[in-house]
Amino acid sequence: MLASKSISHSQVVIQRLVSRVTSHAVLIFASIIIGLPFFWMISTSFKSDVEVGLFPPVWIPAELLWENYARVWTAAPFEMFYINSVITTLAGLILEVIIGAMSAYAFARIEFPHRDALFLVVLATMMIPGEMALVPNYLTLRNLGWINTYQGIVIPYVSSAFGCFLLRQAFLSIPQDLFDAARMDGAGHLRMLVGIALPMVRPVVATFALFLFIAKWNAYLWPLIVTNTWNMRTLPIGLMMVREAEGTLGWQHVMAASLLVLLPVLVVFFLAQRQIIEGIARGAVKG
Amino acid sequence: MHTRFPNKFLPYILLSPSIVIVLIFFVVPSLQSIQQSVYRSNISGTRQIFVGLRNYEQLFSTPEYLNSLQVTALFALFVVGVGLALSLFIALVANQRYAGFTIYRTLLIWPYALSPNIAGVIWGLMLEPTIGMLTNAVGFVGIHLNWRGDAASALLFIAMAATWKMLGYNIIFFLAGIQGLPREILEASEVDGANQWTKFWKITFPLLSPTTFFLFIMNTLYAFFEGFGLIHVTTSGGPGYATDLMVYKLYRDGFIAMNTGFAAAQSVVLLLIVASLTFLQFRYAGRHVYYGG
Repeated sequence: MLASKSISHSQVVIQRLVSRVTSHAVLIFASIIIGLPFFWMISTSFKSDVEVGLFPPVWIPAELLWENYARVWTAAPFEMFYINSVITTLAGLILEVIIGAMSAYAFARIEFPHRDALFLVVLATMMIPGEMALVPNYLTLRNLGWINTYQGIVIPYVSSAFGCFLLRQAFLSIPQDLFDAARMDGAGHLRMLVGIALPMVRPVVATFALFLFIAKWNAYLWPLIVTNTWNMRTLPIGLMMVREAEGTLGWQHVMAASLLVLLPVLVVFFLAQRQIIEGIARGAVKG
Repeated sequence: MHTRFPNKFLPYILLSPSIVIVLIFFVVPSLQSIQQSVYRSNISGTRQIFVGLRNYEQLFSTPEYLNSLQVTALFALFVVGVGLALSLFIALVANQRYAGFTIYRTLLIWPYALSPNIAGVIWGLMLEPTIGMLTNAVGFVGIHLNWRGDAASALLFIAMAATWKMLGYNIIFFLAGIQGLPREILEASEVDGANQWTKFWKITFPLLSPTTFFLFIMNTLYAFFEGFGLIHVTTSGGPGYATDLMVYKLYRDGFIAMNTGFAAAQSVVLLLIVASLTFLQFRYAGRHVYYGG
């Protein structure tokens, strides 16, 4: 009896050890599958023309050719791409947070007729794919004279049902006492929004802003449609310019250009990954 | 109970920026697209002619559109099927609670921040017909991939790039789902002597259905809508029309060929797809998916 128990105990220990080792092995393997293409991209961006085409592949180039980056930077107006991306991303992000907070506050904290019905309408717009509006929006922008302008890239996308929904939930979770106290002090709704509501839900605002940063930095279809000169293009579309010059530029240059495009978003991602992963895990974010 | 201080005008002032923008750039244009889909321009583009459902009839009898539907279906099938199966498998084997888990989480999920066009460029290099690392590796076992010239390779290429970008996201969700399962039930099944296979199909998989269903919807939407940048920067829908996803075809018809009625009809088809997925989500999630409790 005692003997069999000790055997089964050691069996359990071995079993746990095996499953733990398998678990690590699988996760390491998965991390490699996911990381390898990225490593390959970095490695290629520093290679010489010859090394790019070698097989078996060169994992680490003999010499790190920084001039690949210099070459790309001069082959296309990358400063312009950067300026355009930074301006449109930040302007869009700030406006969307402000507009979202305003509407969310109204829905969460003020009583007015048809409020819940109106909120349902807002939620219903989440079901419409943005692609539906592409062609008519283009025509609207042409009539406004907004083609090839920053406002043309930014404005049509600064209001999202998603942001309104997210912030409304957050505002609803704030205890009413805080607002009552502020009311006693004579604060109006605007002061409550700026002084109480927003500071109380700062983590949610930060998460929202991070997702907006990623989404707007990576925006592709709309900026492609509304801009038509290279000096108005944003980074992701600027990458196309390097791709099109395939005859004169090699894969090492395309990879260097891609890294220039994704570097800011990757830096932001790693600095704020905790908040982003929690945001994803909350399941509130569209894939 | 919340007492919200009523106010006559302020709520509308606060709501007005969102309402104005949503109306001008979302609701009205979407309705216009629906209207456009039953009209056709004359050759000079000066007059709109009502054609009823003829744009739709033409759409579903044009080989290029049917091809686009087929390509999108195959693409989605790969992204959802292979993506979910692979990530569920990894999550099941990796299911352990330990300190290092957050490191893996970071290592797995970072491609989430990547735009699909970068994923396209990276995999375009991995699978480059002559020098691609992966092309050469599978070349040894007699598989020849050439996404620039061969239709099947091209579709496989974009599907792999898209799946890769979502893989970590899916794994994280499955891991969270598995770790949230009631332990007593899983342990009870072990006492009953169920083997791993039975345990998975009879217990883990059904219990995990909310996560699986959520990921199914997310990945399907992703496959239908996020492929544009990936295609535009690599295959441009080719070779031939081998990677002509529905969003890409919509873009070509609406902005290159300037066939607005035709493009509008296509956007209505996309609306129907999203609407039915959302409907499914509410209905199915409400009734049949098991939510732990």
